[in-house]
Amino acid sequence: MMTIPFFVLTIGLAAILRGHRIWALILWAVALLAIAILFRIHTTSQLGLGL
Amino acid sequence: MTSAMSVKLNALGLLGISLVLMVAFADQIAYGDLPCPLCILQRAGFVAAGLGLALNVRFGPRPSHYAVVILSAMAGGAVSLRQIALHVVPGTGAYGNPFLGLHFYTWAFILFALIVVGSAAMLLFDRQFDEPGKALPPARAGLAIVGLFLLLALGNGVSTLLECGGGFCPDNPNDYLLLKK
Repeated sequence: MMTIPFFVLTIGLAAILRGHRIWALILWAVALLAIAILFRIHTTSQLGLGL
Repeated sequence: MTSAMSVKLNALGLLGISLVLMVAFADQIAYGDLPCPLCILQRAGFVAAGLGLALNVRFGPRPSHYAVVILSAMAGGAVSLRQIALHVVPGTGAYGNPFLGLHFYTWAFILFALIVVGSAAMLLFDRQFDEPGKALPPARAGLAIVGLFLLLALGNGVSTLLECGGGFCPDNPNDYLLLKK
């Protein structure tokens, strides 16, 4: 799960190198959404809080 | 500021973010300082911000590319601020080794703030957007930096896969999950 943002962004960077701007922007949006969801899951983990 | 100058500055910024990721990697490999889940998300924030700079390097500067950089840096900054807040709580200690007197998550917050300020400052120069159709073909050096950055993004993905497997990462990782015998 935690690997998703990196691999999606890697594909996005490959799209940039190949000249596909729109695909890079779509993949970036997907990665940012993944970061937000993963942050929500881990935001209280270190203190063991349940908010 | 001309479009060409802006592309050069963006390439320089991308090189700076690459350096940040390399320092984090060096600390991980040399000192066995495995990144925690929030640390991994901060690295992802740097990669996402770098993608916006790479767009400027490859396709020429556009306001939407700077928006990508700013939104990514704000997401990464929120994660690092959360981690700083977690360790402000008495008795929670700190995570990882300090670097030049500050922990990595504190440095991350400072750098994300600098990325936001830098991108906003770049947006002040309207002339770089005057010739979107006449943008020069990207220089080889710029594309090489984007290539290096792609390898670092991939390296972080592989490292995270080794550390956490296909699932969520442990809060205090001691070992690479997939390398355990």
